[in-house]
Amino acid sequence: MSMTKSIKKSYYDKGILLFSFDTPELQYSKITGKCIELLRIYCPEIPVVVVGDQIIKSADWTILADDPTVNVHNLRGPKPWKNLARVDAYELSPFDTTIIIDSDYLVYDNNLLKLFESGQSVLAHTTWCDINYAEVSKLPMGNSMLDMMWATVLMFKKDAAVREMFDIWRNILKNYQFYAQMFGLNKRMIRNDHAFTIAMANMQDHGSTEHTVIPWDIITANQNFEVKKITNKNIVLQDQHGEIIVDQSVHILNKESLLNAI
Amino acid sequence: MSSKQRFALKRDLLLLQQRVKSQEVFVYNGCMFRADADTVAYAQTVKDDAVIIDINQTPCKIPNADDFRHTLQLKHNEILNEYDKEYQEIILR
Repeated sequence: MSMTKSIKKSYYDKGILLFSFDTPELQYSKITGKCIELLRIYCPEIPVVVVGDQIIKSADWTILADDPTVNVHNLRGPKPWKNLARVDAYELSPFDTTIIIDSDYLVYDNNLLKLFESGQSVLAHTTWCDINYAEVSKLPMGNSMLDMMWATVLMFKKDAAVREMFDIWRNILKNYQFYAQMFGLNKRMIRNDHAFTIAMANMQDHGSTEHTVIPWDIITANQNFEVKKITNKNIVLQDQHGEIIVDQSVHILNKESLLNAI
Repeated sequence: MSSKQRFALKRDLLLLQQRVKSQEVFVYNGCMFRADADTVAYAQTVKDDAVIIDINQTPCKIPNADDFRHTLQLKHNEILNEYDKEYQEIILR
């Protein structure tokens, strides 16, 4: 992927990195704009860098990049999904300590700041709270015994071991069909969560990765939720059980609905 | 109370517990601890320069035990007060 930077490279010790590539169906840049608006409120003073196909004015700076290889998102019918640039985060991030978040992860608290203070070199979620069913659980990865690590919120510090982990991640993406066969994963939809989980497991010789776990659950509104209203204080969601107001950081899977509400 | 109301109550309480679970985590000397009752009780046994294990199984040296206890107790009280306030709001809704 060739890159051109929109402004001079600056130096910060820590910051947040977002990826934003529009697709014909979804204007991710608009979702990214909202995500940054919330980050400014709940994580003030933390620089935000976007890697994407267009300049996002509210970011501190944008790293313009060619579209990554197009993936297919096939949870509700096949749709193009440009999610495969995340593996380049190590090279692209100008920070010593970086938190990558999905642009559909809406921040309503200051918990991310704790990750910057941690001495761990990598931190990510394993447990998720599905608010549709009001349940907390871990997701098995394919037919393996590994618990899936979510790449939605990923803190990493730059060191040799983390670089190696990203290299393994890249190698897994290149050979995804092999790994999908080996772990019993969906071969048609490449998930960063899966590639990241395998890379982390490889780094630990398939031992425990418990020391790299963010010690709270990732709150997730699944595809059944419709976003009714979004403000800078909370988000109102609706599913078959009724309305719910969420005033803590939440991962919204129904991106179409999120976009409509912004 | 209808089943829909019961589910809404369950979900609101779960979300509140989730918030408490995330907010009670605090970072001390680069290590993460949970400001829960167990840690508060354990902290009473910690002496200056003791090494304790954090949430991520990382050893953490505590140079000043009183300072650690103070930070922990403040966080614990803050979280429980918030929990109590919001719990009452939810069950009276």
